Amino acid sequence: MDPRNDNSSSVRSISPVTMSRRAKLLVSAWLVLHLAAVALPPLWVLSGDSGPVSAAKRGLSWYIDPMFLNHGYGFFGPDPGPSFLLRCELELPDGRKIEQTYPDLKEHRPRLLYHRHFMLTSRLQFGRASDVTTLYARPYARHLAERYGARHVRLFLVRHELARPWKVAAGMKLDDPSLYAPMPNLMIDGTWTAPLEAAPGPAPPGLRAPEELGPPRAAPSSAGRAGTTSPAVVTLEIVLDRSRQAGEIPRPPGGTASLSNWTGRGELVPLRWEEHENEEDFVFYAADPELPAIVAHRIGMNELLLRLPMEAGERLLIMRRDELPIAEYPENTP
Amino acid sequence: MIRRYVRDLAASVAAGWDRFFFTPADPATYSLIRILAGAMLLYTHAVWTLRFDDFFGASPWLPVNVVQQSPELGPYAWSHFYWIETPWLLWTIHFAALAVMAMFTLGLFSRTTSILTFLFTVSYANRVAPALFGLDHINGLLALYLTLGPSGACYSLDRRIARRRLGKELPPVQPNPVQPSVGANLGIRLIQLHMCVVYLFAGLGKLKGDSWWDGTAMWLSVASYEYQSLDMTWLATWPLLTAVMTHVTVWWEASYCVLVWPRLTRPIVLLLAIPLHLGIALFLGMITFGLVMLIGNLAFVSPALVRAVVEWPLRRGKTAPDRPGASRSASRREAARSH
Repeated sequence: MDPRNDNSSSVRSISPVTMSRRAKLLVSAWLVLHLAAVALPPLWVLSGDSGPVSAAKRGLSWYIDPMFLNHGYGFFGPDPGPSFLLRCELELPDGRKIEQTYPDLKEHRPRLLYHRHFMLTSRLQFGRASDVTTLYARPYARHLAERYGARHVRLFLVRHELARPWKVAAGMKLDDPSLYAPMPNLMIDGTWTAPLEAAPGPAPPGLRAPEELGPPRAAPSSAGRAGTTSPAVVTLEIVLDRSRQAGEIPRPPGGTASLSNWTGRGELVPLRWEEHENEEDFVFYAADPELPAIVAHRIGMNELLLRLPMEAGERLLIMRRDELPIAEYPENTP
Repeated sequence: MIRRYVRDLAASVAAGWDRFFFTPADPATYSLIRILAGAMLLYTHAVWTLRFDDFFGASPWLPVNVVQQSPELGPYAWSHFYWIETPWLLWTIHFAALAVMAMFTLGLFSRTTSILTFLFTVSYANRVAPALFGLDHINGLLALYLTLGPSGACYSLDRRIARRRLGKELPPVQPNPVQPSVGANLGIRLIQLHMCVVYLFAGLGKLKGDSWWDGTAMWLSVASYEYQSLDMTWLATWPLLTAVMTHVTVWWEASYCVLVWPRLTRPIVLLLAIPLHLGIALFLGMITFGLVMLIGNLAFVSPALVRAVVEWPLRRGKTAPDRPGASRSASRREAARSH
């Protein structure tokens, strides 16, 4: 292309600064590297993580990542889809309840802030109870609990379907209630449980043997939580994702045990267990890869005690992913 | 014969490469992009101030360790937020970042502030990667390429300061001239190429979806209640119109990287960008995204045309500030020649 016809049709008021041949060679080498780094990430997205592209992208990640080039540019592609909203119910220590939906056009202003929150909730849409969902949902719940000082958080992912044109032509509104569908499998019911009184001595990193933990203790008040300064041990209930089979449960590196004979009925009813009657201890690997493995110790015929070492002052989210009515949940809590 | 062909081909490619990337260019367009992109970067980061604690505070939506596991980030992503947690220090850095971006927009110490602006942009983006969208990606590329050349050569405080300093040495009737710059050309060329990559993959990505083939995608876009900022449901009764809009959009995006280069098709391609991105801005509520895409498209506008438009108000009373003896008619002639 003739540069005179392009952006270089410039004012030659004074002599331009030119580059030496050596400098041009160096810059050209950088240009080749840079242009490859620009094209590889979207090509990787488009090609569905194909082998050679993936390898090349990985090989250039030392350049792609720091330069902020790791983008797919799939704007509204491949298809514009439904929206995902996060509906949360917060229960404050005084019993009051707050209901909030994210994003909220009235609260999140200017529009850019609204889109930031919209992106946060959109991250939850990827698959049923996927790792990404688990990755984000837990910190979202933690943030909301901290922000509002709530003691209990319930998160519901709501799918807002797009209205078909013929229905809109017939009078349907885009926010018609029939277009909103709660997603029960992604429902998160979280309680912030106070760390119990300090365990004697410093807690070792990782798990402690079940016999060290002693019997379960009563939950303290939230006021006692703030003053905790040394490592504490809390009880934990966790319901593993029933949609997964045993082999699919992510296991943290270094895991030494696993649940054998994990069955389709394997979701853990809170602190109750009706299978594996001949076993005393179990190690559970949570769907959340961030969560350490959990030792379960049988304390009764149909009861398991789960313990997890916690850092001082850390709050713990109790999650469940089953479809039991929420109202029954406290009754199952010991 | 084959050897000669290969030799000619290599020489031709080398000459074309040299001309394309290393021809010094008037930095007018580059400087205008600095103002607009700088303002967008400043606004984007200023908005974080409203919910700074929610996103960067002690108990944020996304803790650092979670963000670092997010699929959006690679292993070499970095952010100053990964190492600093002290609230007062984070706030101090935040206001420093805003000050840097304001200086960059105004063109004050622009070579230094351009680099700092890019570093801040990447640092913020990597801290809140899951909350990003297209705006941030284009912000990042503009900030990156504005570090390559003298983005403060025109329309800047740097320029004004230099003029004042030179004015004492030069005769009063001779304003200091603008120096064509390889860096400005390089920055513009890379914005152009990057925009081509963006549109190409945006178009190809759409071609993997059924709705962009059957013509319903445009309806699905405007039917999103969460995106909608203006009621476009009247399109429900105009399926043919939505189908045409769908096909034009995907065709335009996929062919942008080819048709934006020839002199004859470039104006058409750029003119089509205006309704497309203004439509996204006005109807889908993404004003910032629509505008930043238009700023990126500005890289294809010639410096002469930029001068003709930007300096028109300035020329009404006096000679153009950056162009010695440039008359309005001469500027127009040059703009016409460029296009």
